[in-house]
Amino acid sequence: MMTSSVTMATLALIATTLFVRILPIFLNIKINATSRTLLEKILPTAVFLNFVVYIAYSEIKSAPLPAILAITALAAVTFLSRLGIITATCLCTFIYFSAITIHN
Amino acid sequence: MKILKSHDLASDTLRRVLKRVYPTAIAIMPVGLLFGVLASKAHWTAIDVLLISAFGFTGSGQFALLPLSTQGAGFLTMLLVAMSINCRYIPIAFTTSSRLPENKYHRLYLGHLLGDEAYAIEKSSDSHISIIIIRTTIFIAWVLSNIAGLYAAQFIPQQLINPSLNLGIAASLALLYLSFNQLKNHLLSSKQKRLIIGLVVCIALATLIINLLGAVYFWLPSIIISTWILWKIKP
Repeated sequence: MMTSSVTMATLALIATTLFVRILPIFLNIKINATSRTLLEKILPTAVFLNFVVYIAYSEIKSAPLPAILAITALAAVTFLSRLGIITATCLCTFIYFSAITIHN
Repeated sequence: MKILKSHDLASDTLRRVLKRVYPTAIAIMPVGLLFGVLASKAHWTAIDVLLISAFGFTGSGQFALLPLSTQGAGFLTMLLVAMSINCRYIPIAFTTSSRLPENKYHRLYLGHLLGDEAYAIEKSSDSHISIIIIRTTIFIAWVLSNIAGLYAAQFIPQQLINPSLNLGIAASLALLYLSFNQLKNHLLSSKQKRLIIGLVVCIALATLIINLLGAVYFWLPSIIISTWILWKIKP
C-alpha cells in the first residue's frame, strides 16, 4: 500500500508529465514556414546546447578535475573520431573514475 | 509474398532501431538502479517504485522528490520542484509533436514517454514505429532498473552504498555524447563561421545563467535566449 507522501510524489510527477510533455503535443497551433524552421532547426540546437551546459555544470560542480578530463575527452572523441557511443562512454567513464582514484 | 516482405521490413526496422537505442538504454541503467537502492533505503515498496517510475518517468524529478517525500513536503511544493526541473520538456514536446502519429492515444502514450535520451537519439526523419521502439525501450530500461535496484538493495551492505560515488556519470556522458553528435551534425550541415560564434556566445550565456539561477531554474530562460541568438544569426 502506498504511503500518502509517496502517493503525493507520484501525483506531482503525473501532473508534471501532463503539463510539460502531453499538453504541448495536443495544442493545435498552425505554423508557417518560418515557425517550422524555428521549431525543427533552431530550437533543437538550443536545447542540445543547454543539455551540454547543464551536464558539464552539474558534473564539474561535484568533481571538477575528473569531470573536466572526462568531458574534454568525450568532446574530442565525438568531434574528431568515429567511436560509437558505448566505446566513447566507457572510455570517458574510465577516465573519470581513474582521475577520482588518483585525486583521492 | 507481400506479407513476408512486410514482416522482413518490420524486423529489419526493429533491428536497426534497437541497435541505435540499446547503448543509451544500458547507460541509464546504473542511474535507475541507484534510484531503486535509494527508494529502498527510504522504505518504498515495489509498487511505489513501479508507479512512480512508470507514471512519473523522469530521472531528475524522481531523485528530487524522493527526499522531499520522506521529509513530508506538500503536494504543491513537490509539483513546483518537478515542474521547474522538467520545464525543458515543453519546447522539446513542441519540437517533436509533428513526428508523432495522429491517433490521440498513441500521442498520449508517446508524449508521456518523451525523455532527454530518446529526444537525442531520434531524428526528424524517423518513422512512427522507430519512435515507438526508441521511447518504449528507454522507458522499459528505466522502469526495470528502478525495480531491480530496489530488490538489489537488500543484498548490498549498507557501508557500500556510498552516496558520493557518482553512478550517474555514465548516463551523463552518454547524453553528452548524443548532444555533441547532434551539434556536430548541425555544424557540418551549415559550416558557417557565424554559427560557431553564435554557439560559443550561447554556451557562454547559458553558463552565466546557470550560475545565476542554478540548475533547476535556468532551463527556460536559457533555452529562450539561445533560440533568439541562433535565430538572429541564421543564414
